[in-house]
Amino acid sequence: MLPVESKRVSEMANDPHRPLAEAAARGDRKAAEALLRALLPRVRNLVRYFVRGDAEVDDISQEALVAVLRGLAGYRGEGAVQAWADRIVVRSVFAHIRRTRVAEKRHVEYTPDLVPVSNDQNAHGFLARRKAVRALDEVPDDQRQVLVMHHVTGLGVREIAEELAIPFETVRSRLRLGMARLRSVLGDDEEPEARSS
Amino acid sequence: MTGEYPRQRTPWPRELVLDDQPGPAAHITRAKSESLIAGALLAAGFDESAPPQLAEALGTERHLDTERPAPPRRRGWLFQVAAVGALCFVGMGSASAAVMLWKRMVEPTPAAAPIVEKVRKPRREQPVVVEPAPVEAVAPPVEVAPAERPRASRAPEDYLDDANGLRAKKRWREADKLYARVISTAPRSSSAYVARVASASVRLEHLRDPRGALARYRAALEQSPRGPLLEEIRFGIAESYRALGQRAEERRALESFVHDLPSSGLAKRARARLEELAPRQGARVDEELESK
Repeated sequence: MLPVESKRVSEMANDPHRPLAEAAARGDRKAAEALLRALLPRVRNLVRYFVRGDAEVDDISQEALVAVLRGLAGYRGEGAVQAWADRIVVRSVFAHIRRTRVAEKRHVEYTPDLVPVSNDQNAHGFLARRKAVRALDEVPDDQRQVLVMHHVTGLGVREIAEELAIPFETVRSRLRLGMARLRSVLGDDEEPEARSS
Repeated sequence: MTGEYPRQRTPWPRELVLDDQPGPAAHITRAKSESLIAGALLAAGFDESAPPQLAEALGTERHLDTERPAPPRRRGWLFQVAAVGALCFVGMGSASAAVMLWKRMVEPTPAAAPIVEKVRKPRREQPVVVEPAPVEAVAPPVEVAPAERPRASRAPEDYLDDANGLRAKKRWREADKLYARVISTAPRSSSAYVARVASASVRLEHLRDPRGALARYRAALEQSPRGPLLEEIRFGIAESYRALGQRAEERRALESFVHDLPSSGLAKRARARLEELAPRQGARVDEELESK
């Protein structure tokens, strides 16, 4: 067995969500509930990366959780449950975006983000993430989507091109433009191209 | 993962990672989280209250063993349950009426009251499926009003959540009171830190209380001198001085803001305000004398 393959098999064997997913696929309600409880924080975080503001996060997350449960029958145990669920969440988000594409785009005002902090130990990290995602809110939607798919969910350019049904070069271009915009919002105006020259 | 994109040239902000730790999604209360999960389970056919046979009869069969998942039928489930309940009710009512009529014909009774009782009996035995309980489980999660929540086991962040809700509804004074409660409940917590900044913002922008705002901002700065809301606090201090008419103090606060936090999203506004203040050179001496 190749080292990479053996590592992958080991990861799958240690996947804490796998028994829950298998039991849930057999119709075990308690397992399904436990699985959703385990996945929910990550699902909400991923959804927030894709959409501006917090208003729609929970509705989309719930749709994504339903899609995860419904997709369990098709889960073949190839890879970690979390990574598999991430893909389903991404598709649910895009389905939602397609449905609401005509919705008016809102400008995000710069106002203090005074959200509740759930855990003192993680409070600073939480607020830093909130601040960073608000910078991401300033990136145009099409660029933001490929940035999140590539940098947050770890998809390659080819996979993104297939997922979004757009040319390979378009993905690369959106990644570059999106990154430049993000850096500009974050206060680093130096363009990647300028730096490399 | 493919390496077609030159990632090393454009490092991704380390804050933007995906895990199950808090952020970037906003805080969610336990009740809302449970409601969200319950709704998803129900929509996917994992309804505990509905036995499998009933669920199947109503079209919410568990599709997990099949390749093609059934489409969502959330509302349909409700309508069908209601329809079955209504049919049962009508059927039972008709049967009771028939029995009553037959009894009247066979052994007429002078007392009307017992007959009424017999008619009422099926009503009390209405099928439970008519009860609206599933409606709440199916409906999208709705934030429970603060007054309806159990108070005993509430954490400071729950109060903070409520206060933010009040602020969103423009109920400024009530929001400020609730922020104060967060601060007094756990004064050194991060929730109190956020509450201090939120309260300051409400006092400054909506309650016409810049002095109170300044006190809150200073307290937040004292609690966490390099906290994540440092930019908001320091800019807020400058804004509070502006509202108080203390121009010299405002200018000093803005100058130190621009110096210490040049890449802040608020630095542009700070610079613009400094430019507005700059032409008043003649008044500058007076202001400085005034501030001394």
